Amino acid sequence: MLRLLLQRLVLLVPVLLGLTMLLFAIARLLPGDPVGLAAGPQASPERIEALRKEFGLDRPVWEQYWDYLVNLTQGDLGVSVMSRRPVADDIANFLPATLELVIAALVLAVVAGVPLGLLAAVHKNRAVDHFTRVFSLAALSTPPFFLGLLLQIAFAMSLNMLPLGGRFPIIELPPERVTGLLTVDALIALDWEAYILALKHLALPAITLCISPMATIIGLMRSSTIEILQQDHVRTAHAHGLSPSKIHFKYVLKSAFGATMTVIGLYFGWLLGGTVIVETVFDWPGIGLYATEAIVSQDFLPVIGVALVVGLMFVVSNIVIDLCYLLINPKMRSQ
Amino acid sequence: MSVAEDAPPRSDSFLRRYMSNRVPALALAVVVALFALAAFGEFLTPYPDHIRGAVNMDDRFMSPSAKHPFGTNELGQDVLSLVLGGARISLIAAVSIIALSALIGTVVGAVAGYFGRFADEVLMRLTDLMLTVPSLILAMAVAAALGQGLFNLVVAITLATWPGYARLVRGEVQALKGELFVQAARTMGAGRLRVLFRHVLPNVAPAVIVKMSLEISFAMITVASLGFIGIGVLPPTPEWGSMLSNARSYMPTYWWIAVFPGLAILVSVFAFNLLGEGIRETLDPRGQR
Amino acid sequence: MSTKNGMTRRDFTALSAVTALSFAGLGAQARAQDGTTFVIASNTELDNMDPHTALGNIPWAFFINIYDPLVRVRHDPPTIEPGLAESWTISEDGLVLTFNLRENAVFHDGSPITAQAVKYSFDRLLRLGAGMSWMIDGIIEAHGVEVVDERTVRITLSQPFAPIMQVLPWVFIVNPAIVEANKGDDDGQSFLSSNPAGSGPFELTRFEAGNLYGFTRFADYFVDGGGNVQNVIWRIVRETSSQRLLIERGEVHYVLDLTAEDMNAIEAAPGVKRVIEPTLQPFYLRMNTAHGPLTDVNLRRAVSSAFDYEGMIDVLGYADLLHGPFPANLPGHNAAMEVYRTDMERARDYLGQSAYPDGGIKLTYVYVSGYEQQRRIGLIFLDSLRQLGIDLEIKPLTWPDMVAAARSPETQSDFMAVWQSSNYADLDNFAFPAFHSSQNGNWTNPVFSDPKVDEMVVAARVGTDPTERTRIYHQMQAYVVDQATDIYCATLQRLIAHRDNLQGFSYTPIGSNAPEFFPLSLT
Repeated sequence: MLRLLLQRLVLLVPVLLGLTMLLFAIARLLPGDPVGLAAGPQASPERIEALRKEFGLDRPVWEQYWDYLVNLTQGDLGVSVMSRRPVADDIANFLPATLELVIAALVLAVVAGVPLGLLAAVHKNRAVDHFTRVFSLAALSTPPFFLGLLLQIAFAMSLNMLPLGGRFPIIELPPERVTGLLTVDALIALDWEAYILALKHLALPAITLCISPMATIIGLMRSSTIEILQQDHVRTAHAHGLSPSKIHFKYVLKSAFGATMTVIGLYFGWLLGGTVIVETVFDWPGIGLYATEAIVSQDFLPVIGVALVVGLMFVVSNIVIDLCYLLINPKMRSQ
Repeated sequence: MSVAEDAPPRSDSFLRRYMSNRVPALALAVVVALFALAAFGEFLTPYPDHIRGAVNMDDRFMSPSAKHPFGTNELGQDVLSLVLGGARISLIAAVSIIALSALIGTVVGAVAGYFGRFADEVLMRLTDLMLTVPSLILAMAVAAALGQGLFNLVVAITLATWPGYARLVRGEVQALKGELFVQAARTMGAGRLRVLFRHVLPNVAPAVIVKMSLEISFAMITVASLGFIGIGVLPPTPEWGSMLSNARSYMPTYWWIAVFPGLAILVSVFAFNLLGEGIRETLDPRGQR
Repeated sequence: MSTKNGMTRRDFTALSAVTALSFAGLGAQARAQDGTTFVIASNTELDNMDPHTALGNIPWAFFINIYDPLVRVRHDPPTIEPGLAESWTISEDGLVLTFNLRENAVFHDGSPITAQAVKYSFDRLLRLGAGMSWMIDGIIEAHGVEVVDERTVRITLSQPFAPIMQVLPWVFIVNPAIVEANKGDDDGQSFLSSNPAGSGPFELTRFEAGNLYGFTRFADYFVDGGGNVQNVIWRIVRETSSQRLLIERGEVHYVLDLTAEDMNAIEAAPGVKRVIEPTLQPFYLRMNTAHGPLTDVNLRRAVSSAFDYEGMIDVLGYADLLHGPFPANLPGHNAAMEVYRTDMERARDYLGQSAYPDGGIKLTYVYVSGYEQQRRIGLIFLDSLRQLGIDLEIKPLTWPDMVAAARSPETQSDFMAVWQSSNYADLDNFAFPAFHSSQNGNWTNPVFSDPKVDEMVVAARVGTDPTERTRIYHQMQAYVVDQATDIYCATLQRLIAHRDNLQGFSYTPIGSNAPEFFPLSLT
């Protein structure tokens, strides 16, 4: 077990190496002049040259790449040409907002998706089932920006129930930063109204983001539950007089766990990189918004940094999921 | 075809089987209608010149009426005409992305899976790496750097979507390599390439087609998403995502400017999703999730 | 706010006052408004806080509050008022300026602001050659700035420059000790880009990247008085629709980026005051007079006559038509000359005299991607040009790409939509950057070059007699209009909204939408 974990972690090194190389190649092959923008409209050619030199952009690509790697070993992701701030600091600053959003969306997806999928399976091919399928397909078909806009029109603009965007009311002070997740920090500070405020801000973006994983969970839960209900041992157990609810519960719990794990494995990394749209619609200050701003200014190091961090978290989350499977299902260990 | 048993079902039986299910049949009808609108929409709209960028500053912000069923926008353009015009871009982009991704993915996957060894190692490592890169961010960065335009948009999104196909095709090819009929063909003296093209690839096709049909909706949403962010096609070409984005500052007063393009995306993506499900169930009834 | 749960926001506030949180800089403060915290919403972050390399509206908004210039510009019409210098004298020939600094002026670290600090700041500004330095390029040189004594600075101009006093508010004085201590190998640029080293009425005390900036009133500021605002929170709110909602709900006091539609929507909103004032910022469609079809003056006249001026104003919402290249609200503007207005007859006449009597050409129009109004103006223009048989390709570019394209006539597009910046209230602010050939290759004047115009621009720039300057400017305006160098579109009105309990705000068309915090009070 431990050996396996170590093995997987060691394999991370070539992945990281390859990922940086790939991102660097893409970024450097593209046209665009970040220095021209950073230097400002009236900058003289000399000043632009000086800036280029300062950021090492005048040197051969492979040299730049080597420097990047050396710095990376010290957790340094370079400096943004636009803001002159270290990229690592910026990401550390913006990542918690995105994490909070993604985690909230996944929790929502599981909490709503598991029972819905179950319901659909139990009532297979009946109205509830059809409704659930159409609902999840329709939900999957709604582009996040449109869903977000509709939610804003309904709950923020018309009903005035929830905020239009942002993470916390502007004039209020957020709870003291511990984890960077406002809901968690509010709980740590035992500050209930801060918790409610943070939740209110989280609600609409999280709902918008949870749609896709929720539809997947519903589908998985439905098919795996149908399979369980048809399996021989369930029928046998049934024949032996065990109460159906008890049997169902045990197997269903297992399949719910499986579905949840699969979806988290599938979606965690994907959502981290896919919050861009939701963050734009709801003005949510996370890494998606950060990456978008960097992309527009053709400021490459922040974009590479974000892609690297998201890619890494994707790989790591998959390792964790695999380990969880192993813990639950020791039979797989021999494989 | 020499390998009738393993070949995909003939098209006539496929169509019959597909159409036997009512919902996918309806979806197919919607998709066909969508393609028809994309091709001929210009001739159906009352204001075809609005699609090409004409404006009418006297009729701004008209709410939906008989004259303008979807209302008019901030430039007095007929929203219905723009939505119909947008169908074309959306479809062209989505179909191109899917076709290109499938082509690149199939080539890479087939080479890796069929020739194995070094090629497999190199190509699949690259594919795995590409799969860890957040695709939307990659597409945005590439599209922004290349500049706006339909072609660049397609290139950028394709760059982020082909690895999925490569992985799929490689797996299928590897599995087929062990199948009897392929080995039989090899022993009968068929050349490697001939076996690949005549016996292996045709049998990979169903899986690729299923994936394409399921992903066309995803491609449509991605195109609209980039348009929404502001990295879309060039004006005056109407595009649903950017139409919706431009309309945001008029919410909620002039809701129709945003809601109708939004609904257009929803309906087409929904139809494509149903179509994809239908194709999957017809081609691969076992894989029902 | 919903009161369904039996608890209003006010109750929340009372509660949380007990469990008050503290954070660096602002000290202990209750959650929510305490009546002295002024909240402003902006969609822009300040990427670079170095007053000697940053230039623009947002930098301006920060610098006027955390730094001090020798003199300040305030009100409408813009007036030069004392800043660090309490008085000054200008020699007869306009070449020697002597400034007397305030006795009690100190930096935020308590050290006195001396004449050496002023010289240090000018030296650094000129050495870096960035930011506002182009405004004084060739006019103030390092050796021209002299320390007379601790409190006296003498600036000798290398050549006469009529609007010199108008540009000095842009030169902010930094604390030499702090810059020297953090000099690094880039003259302190890395440090100053994210750390202040100033003396202004407010100190930057809090910074959350991408989210907010917090300011606190500087207790030892050298001017007494001011408003009751003690803290300022500058919040980044990217969506203008969010800004609108926030000002309507009273969750912020001042918003910077409302669109014309937003302004219409809040017209009757209770508690909201709208400020709609003319700016000095002209909007042009710059034409490529050096390369491509638009080198033909009659084609330029034709497109200038085909352009839909009224449609453009409709799109911009709150804007005034430009009469010629310069804004009408500055002395020297020529209101008597004839300018182009929409007239398809005339457009066809001019086209007939051009090398393309039947059109049949395709021109390109570039704008900064994301600028909705510019995109819409492009669409209107496309519609008009089509009537002349001319096709228009509308291309959004990122700002860096646009700046890069402006470097040569070959890469510059046929039309470029651009706002000229208004940094000082003198026609030279437009005449020199936008029409003098020395600026070619720069986005402010990518390609236009005409020796006659150069001569007039320079003559007006160095002139000291206002009547003579006006005469030259009138002549120059009539000349460029005749040459149809660009399509002169509009000046935008400034759209600001603030809560009606804000006092002490005085509008000035110079710099940014954001106010000086010093005189502000909340009632």
